[in-house]
Amino acid sequence: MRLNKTLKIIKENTQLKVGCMMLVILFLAALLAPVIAPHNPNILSDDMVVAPNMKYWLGTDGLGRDILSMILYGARTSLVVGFTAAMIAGIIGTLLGGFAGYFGGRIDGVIGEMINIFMMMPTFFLILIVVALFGSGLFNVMVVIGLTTWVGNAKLMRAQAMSLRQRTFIKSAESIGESRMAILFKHIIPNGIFPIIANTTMGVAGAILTESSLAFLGLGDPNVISWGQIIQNGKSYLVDGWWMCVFAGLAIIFTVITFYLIGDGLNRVLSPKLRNLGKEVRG
Amino acid sequence: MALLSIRDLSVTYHSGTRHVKALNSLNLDINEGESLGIVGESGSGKTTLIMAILRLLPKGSVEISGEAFLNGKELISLKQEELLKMRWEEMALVFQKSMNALSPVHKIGVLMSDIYRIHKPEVSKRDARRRIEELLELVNLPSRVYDLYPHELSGGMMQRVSIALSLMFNPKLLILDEATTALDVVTQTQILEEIVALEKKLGITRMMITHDMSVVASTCKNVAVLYAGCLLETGLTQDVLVEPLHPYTQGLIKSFPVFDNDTHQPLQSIGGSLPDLSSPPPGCIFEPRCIKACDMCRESMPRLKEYGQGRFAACHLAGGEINV
Amino acid sequence: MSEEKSKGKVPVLEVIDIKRHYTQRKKHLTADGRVLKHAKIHSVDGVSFTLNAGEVLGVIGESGCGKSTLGRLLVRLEAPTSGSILIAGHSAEDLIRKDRLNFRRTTQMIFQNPFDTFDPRFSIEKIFIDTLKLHKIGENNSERRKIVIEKLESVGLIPAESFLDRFPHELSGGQLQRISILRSMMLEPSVVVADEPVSMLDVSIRADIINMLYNTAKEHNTSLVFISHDISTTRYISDRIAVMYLGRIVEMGAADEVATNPQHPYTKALISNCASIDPRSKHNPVKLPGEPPTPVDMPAGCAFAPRCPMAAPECCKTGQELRDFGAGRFIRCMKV
Repeated sequence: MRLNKTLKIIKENTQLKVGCMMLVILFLAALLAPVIAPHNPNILSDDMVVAPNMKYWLGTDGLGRDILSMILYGARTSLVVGFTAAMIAGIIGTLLGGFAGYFGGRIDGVIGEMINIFMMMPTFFLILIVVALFGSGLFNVMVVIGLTTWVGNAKLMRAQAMSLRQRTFIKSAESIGESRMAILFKHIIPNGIFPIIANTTMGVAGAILTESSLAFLGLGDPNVISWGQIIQNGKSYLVDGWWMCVFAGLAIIFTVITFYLIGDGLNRVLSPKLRNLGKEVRG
Repeated sequence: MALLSIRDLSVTYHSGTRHVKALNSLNLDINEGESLGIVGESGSGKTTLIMAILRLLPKGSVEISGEAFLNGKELISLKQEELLKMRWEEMALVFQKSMNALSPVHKIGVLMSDIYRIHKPEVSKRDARRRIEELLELVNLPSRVYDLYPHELSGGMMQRVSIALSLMFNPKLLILDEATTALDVVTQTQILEEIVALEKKLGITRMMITHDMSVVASTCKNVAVLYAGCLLETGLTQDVLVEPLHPYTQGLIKSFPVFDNDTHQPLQSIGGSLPDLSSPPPGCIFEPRCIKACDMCRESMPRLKEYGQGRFAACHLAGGEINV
Repeated sequence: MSEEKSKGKVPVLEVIDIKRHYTQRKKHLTADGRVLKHAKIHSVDGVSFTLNAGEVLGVIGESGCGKSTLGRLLVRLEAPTSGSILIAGHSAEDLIRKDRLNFRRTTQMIFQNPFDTFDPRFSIEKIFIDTLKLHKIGENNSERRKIVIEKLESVGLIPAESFLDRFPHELSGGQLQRISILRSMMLEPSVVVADEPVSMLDVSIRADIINMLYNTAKEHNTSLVFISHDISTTRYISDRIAVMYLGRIVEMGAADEVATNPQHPYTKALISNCASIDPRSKHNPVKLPGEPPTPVDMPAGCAFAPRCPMAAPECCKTGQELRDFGAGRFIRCMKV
């Protein structure tokens, strides 16, 4: 029954519908890469800088690798990086924002300052420094993106917690004897999480872009195929081999749009519902 | 001659497969210079009624039928431009928290004279100010209120400003929708007294929507009791509240704590709750909660019958005999 | 503790001169045009009273008089700035430090807005069972379920099983308020604070809630603090009434005494403005000049003096004490 309801909501929201369809395509591409990829993306063939043709649908790069296969395998990297980094940012943001908003006082002061510091920091350069210092493994990249992008989530959750703590059911839970920690995890966070879910979805897109940028600058993980890397390699062939950059770039755009659509759709679907919960009866 | 007369007004909300009949062929008259209190609980349709007359209901999902004549003009089918003119100049509305609608960054006087000058663009700023100060004086506010911001006023002052605003173009009909509900008792009594005095002075007809019977008892000549979209009883306040004919009115009065000098009568509620208006009971709308209900009540909806001058009730059992 | 209670010597609740002050962050504009920075709001400003087991105390006053803050102080949703609250002779401060859960059990609160009293995501069953589990009532969930069903049926929520799977937004205000009272009473508290418990409900069902609250409190010998702006209802349910004005009690005494023979000019004004539904009754409401004040920048003398019809020059100079007039009657006015 819940599934039916979810499906109905997705069907009624165009953005969500299109976004979800695009997400399914992305997932299939990533999952089935070994099956559908026409070539092994790591094999260097003799056909270098070949324009798109029947054998190589999207052409080959300077080392003779098939672009289509690289893009399919690159989807895995992008999705893993995007989801992990966004999850890290979501969890940190929710926890810190929840603590700050619900407990208030000194805790709010300290976390508020942390938020301010992170907002002022040029995040991308911080990431560059960390990657330069600690190496550019995929793990490092994911963690550092997550650790630097939680601020938006924290601010959202803080505002949510601050308005929720005024609600009667939170006071009621307090007076019935629930501990502050229990209230935070049982009432505040679950009731205030919806905007964070929407924001985290958009965060996936941001993380994918950041990872691509790092790879483009040559700071990506050299052991995995990623879209940013394809573009970086293709950049020197921009005049003779436009297809390298263009198709990888399109893949990035496609993914980013997917997550923006879903995030925005979720935002529209979830927030009015949240606002109306409690009020439905009186209306 | 009735200033406002409502004929067979029905409002149905459509949502998906549900059709909620919020108002069920309502008939009401208010004579010029009189005051009518409309009493009803949540879900009685009292707000729907106001919204329907003022044509503020959303188009599309709402179906309105019937007629409402204000001063001879039919409101339900009136053209938009004419309606806009009528809304301030012939009828004005004061909500429970009207002032919340005003912009917090502008002074009261500026807000008020803006509204004045929208309707009367030819008036100079100075004349507008004079008129606003006159209005503020009318509702017993000091003229310094002109230079205050909305958040600097107390609840009572806010409602006074709202009333002053509604009187701006000398409307014939003043509609108060729970206008004093959120105020303290002392302030409420004072404002109600002022309104009564004002309408005598300016010759205004008042329609007052409230859930508080004591407000009606002290300020209205006539009363109409609404329940689940149906008019159950109407008549002079002194008749209806003293000798109610309809079991619902009787129940309402019994559930109101009396501040009597010596007795401690036990309070009584009306059992049960409002019927689902998308599938109302086949008979009388109040039958499921009525302690006197008989077979006939379950079968047919009683019609409004006249009991004496201007006194109507919709109950098979009213007046001690069975009416069909 | 229960022994002391049964002796009846130690009052269940003793409030000694509690105060709650807030510091306002934004600038405050006084009525005469002065601007105060960091103004102090004297929301509750020295309230003292005692409450015996099974007694109902009504607290009435206009909005902003501090009655709701007082309620929150009593159940410790807020801590007082100064003063103390004794529950059966023990300081609430110590009780909550020693055993928070037990303290929460002894003082319970019924809230004004039943539509928002429960987490909208939880079913009624989960709401009840979580509460019972928290306070270690019942051995297992099926036993707790049995307790809940029994309680629900005892207050006329029949069939109880049909309510268990429902969510708060599927119930009416009256049903929700009954569930709220039931949940609090299940913990067998010694003090219940009800903050305007019926003001958001329809008139026709208010009486049931009031009667239920009264009966369950008497049944368990629970003391009740009934906070309301409605004098008629308060008089109906209360044994004693305290009238608050600007954070202080201005008059307190037996409910009927205060209602029929008010002494303080403010109480007189309130009661004379009390509405009647009988259009024949002629009442002459006492008019109070000026606006209901805010508890900022309090006057030096009697707080009510600026609006008092009986005020003499000396009223504005010296503060008034709550004087004992015997038989539990207290009045804060020098003219009486």
